[in-house]
Amino acid sequence: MADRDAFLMLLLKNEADLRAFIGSLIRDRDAREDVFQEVALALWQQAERYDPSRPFGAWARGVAANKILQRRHQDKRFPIAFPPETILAVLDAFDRTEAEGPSRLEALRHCLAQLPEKARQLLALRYEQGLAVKEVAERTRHTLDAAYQALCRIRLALADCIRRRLAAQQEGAR
Amino acid sequence: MSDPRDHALFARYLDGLATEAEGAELGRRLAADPACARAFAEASRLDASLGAHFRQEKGQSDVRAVLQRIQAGRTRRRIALFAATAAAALLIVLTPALWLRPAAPPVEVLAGNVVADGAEVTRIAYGVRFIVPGSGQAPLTLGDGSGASLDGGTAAAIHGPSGPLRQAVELFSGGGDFRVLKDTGRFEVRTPVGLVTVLGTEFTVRLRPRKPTDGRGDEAMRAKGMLLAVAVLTGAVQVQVGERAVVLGVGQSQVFAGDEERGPRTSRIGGELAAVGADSITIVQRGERGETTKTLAVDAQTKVVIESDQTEQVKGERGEPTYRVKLVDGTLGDLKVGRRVTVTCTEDGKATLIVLHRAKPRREGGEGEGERTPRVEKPRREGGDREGEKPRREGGEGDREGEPRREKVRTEGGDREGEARPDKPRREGGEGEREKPRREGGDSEGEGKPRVEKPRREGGDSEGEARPDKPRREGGEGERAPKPRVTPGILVGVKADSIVVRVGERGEQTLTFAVDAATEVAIEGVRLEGGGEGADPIKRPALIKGSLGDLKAGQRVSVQATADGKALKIFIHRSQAPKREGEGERKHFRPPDGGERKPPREGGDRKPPREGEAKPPREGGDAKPPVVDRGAEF
Repeated sequence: MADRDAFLMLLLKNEADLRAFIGSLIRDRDAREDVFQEVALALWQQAERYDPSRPFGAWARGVAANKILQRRHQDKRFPIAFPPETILAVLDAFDRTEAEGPSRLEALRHCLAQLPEKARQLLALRYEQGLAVKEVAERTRHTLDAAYQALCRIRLALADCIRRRLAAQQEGAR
Repeated sequence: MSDPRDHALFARYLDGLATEAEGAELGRRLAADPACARAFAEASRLDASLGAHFRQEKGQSDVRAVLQRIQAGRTRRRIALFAATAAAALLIVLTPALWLRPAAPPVEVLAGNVVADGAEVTRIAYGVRFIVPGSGQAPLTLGDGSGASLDGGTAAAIHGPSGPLRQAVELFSGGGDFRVLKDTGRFEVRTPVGLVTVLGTEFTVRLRPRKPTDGRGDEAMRAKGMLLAVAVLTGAVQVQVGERAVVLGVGQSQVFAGDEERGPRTSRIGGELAAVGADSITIVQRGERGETTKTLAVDAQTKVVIESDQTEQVKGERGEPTYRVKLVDGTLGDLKVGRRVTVTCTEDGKATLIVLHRAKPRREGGEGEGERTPRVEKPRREGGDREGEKPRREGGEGDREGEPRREKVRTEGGDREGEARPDKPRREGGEGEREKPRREGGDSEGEGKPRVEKPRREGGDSEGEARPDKPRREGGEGERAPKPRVTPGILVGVKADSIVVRVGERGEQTLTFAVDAATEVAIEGVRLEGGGEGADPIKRPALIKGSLGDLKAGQRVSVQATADGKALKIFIHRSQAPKREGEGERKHFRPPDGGERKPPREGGDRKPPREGEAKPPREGGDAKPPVVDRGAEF
C-alpha cells in the first residue's frame, strides 16, 4: 500500500483496537506501550506489504501477535501470562469480534451516561486516575473485594448496555 | 454468553488481581474454548475503551486547571516536553477561538505578537519568515483551517499547498502546539532536525538548543545543533530524522537529536608541533609505543587560539559561576616547533582549530606527554557542567558554540586523555567542535549521530597517544588502515555510551569503545534442535540478537569497531573469563522490570531454568515461536 496518508489514517482508525489486543495479552503498562510502539513502527515500515483488500485490523493484530510471540520467545521474563497457543486463540477471537470502532465508542459514551454517578466515579478512579483496584478500595473505603465486585458489576452492565445498543443500531440500519 | 466464572476470571486478570494459577487457568480456558476467547476479547476491548474514554475525560478536566492558571496570570514556559494532558488542555482552551473563526487565508494571527519584515502583522503570507517575540504564545489559524499556537521566541514560516502537501510549517527555532484538521493532503512541520508528518492530530513540536543560547537566537541554535521534541496528544505523527522514521502515537513523546554535521566530522589530535609550514603542520604524538606523526593542512580559515595566563568567569549550565582559562586569538605565526597543541581537524586532514597550550612542567607520574600540568582536580559534575566539556546527561546539551571542546577526564583509571585540564581553555567566540550530547539511557535520541569516541586506554593514556583513528592495542605498530576490526577481550565497564574492554592475553590493557543505538549486540548461544518424545535435543551454535542492556561486566566479548573506536557490533561469548584476582564482584545486570537477574555463571552454558523460575534471556533458545502469517514481517 503505497499511499502513506491513507495508511496512516487506517493506523489511526485501528489504534484503539490494536491497543486493546496488545493490552489483553500484556498487562504491564510499560511493556505493552513498548510493544505497541514496535508494532506501529513495524506496520509503518511494512505499509507496502499491506493488501488493502484485507482487513487492516486483522493484519495489524497479526503483526502484533508475532511481535509478542517473538518477545516472549526471546525473553522469558517478558511479562506475559499466556503461552503461544493462548495468544493465537485470543488473536482469533479478536478477529472474529472485529470492533466497529466509532459506533462502539458512541455506545460506550451513551451507556456511561446512563450509569449512576457513584458508578461513574468508581470507573473514573480506576481508569482516569489509573488506580489499582486496591487503591480504589482504599479511596472509597471499601474492602478490596467489594470494590472489585462493584467494578465487575458496572463493567458487566456496561458491556450488556453496549451490546444492546449496537444490536439496536444494526436493527435500525436494516 | 460464556460462563459467568469466565467473566470473573477476565475481570481479575484485567484488574491485575489474578494469581499465577488463575492466569494459567485463564490461558487454558482461552485456548480451549473459542467462545470464552471471544468473550475475553470483548472484555478486553471494553477495558481498553474505558481507559481511553476516561483519559480523554481527564484531559478535559485539565482544561479547567489550565484556565485557572491562565486567569491567575501564570504563563506556561517550558521548552522541554510538557505533560501531554496540559498540552491538550491548552489546545482545547484555544480551540473555540481557532476553529470557529472563518479561515482567512493565508494565515491569521489570532492573538499575541507576530513580527514579519520588521513590523507587527495580523496576517502572514506564505513563505514569509516571521518571529513570535516575547514569551507569550501566538495562536494562528493556518490556511487549511488547522491551528498552531507558537511559543514566544519562535521563528517560522508557513508554506501553502503544493502537490500532495496542503500545509507546511517551517520551524527555524522555538516550537508550538499544533492541531491539524483531518483532511486530504499532508501537513508537515519542517525543522532543521527532522520532518514531522501528520494527518488529523494534535501534537507539540519544540526545538531546543543543546545548551542555552544566551539569547543569541535561532542562528545560534542552528549553528550548534538542536533537539527536536515531539509529543502527540491525539492521533499519530511520523517523525523523519535522517533516514529513520519513527511513528509516535497518542500520549507518546520523543526527543530527537539534530544532525551533528553542519560541516565535516572532526576529530582532535593532541601533541607537539614538530614542523610548521605555510600550509601544513606536523604533530608528534608520543606514547609508550613510540612516536607517531601526523601532518595536517592549514590555511587562512584555520583558527588559532592561545591559552593565556588569565582565567575568566563564565556561567555554567545552570547559571553557576565557572572558571576557565582565557583564550586569546592567535595566528599561524604563533605556532612554534616544540609547542604543545590540540588540533581539531576534519576527516580529510584539514586543521580547523589549533589550541596552543602554555608550556607546562612535566608532570610526575610518567604520562606520555611532556608538558603536563599538575592540576587541581575538580569534581566532575554529572552531566558535564563545564562549557566545552562533553556532557553526558539525559537530554544532554552539547558544546557551546565557539568553544574548543575540552578533553574529557576519564573516570576509569584516573588519567585523562590529552590536555584535559579543568582549569584550561574555553573561550567564547572560538570555533568549537560541534558534537552530539549523549543521553544516559539514550532512548530518544537514537536518531542522532552520537559522537564517536576515541578508544582510550585506561591508566595512563597520554596526549601523544590520542589517536582518533583506532583503538590501541598492545604491540600495535604505527598507523594502520582505518577499517573495522574485531577486538576480543573481557568487558570490564559498561556505560550508556561506551564500553571498556580489557584486552591482551593477561588483560594488561583496556580499550574504550563508543556505543550507541546503532551498535548491534549479538549473543553467542545455542539453539536446541529436535528433541521431544524422549530424544535429547541437539545443541547447535547460534547467535541471537541482543541489546546493549545485555552487556555485563565480566563477559567475554569481541568488539567490531570502526577505526575511530565506535563499536559497530559486539559479540557476547558464552563462556566468561575467570575473575581476576582482586577484581570486585561483577555487577549484576538489573533488567528493566526491576528484578535482579542472577549473575552469569562462570564458565559457560547456562543451566536450563526451572519451570516458573525467572530466567535471563535465552541464548539460542528452544523451538521458535509460532508465526502468524499475515504477509508481514516483524
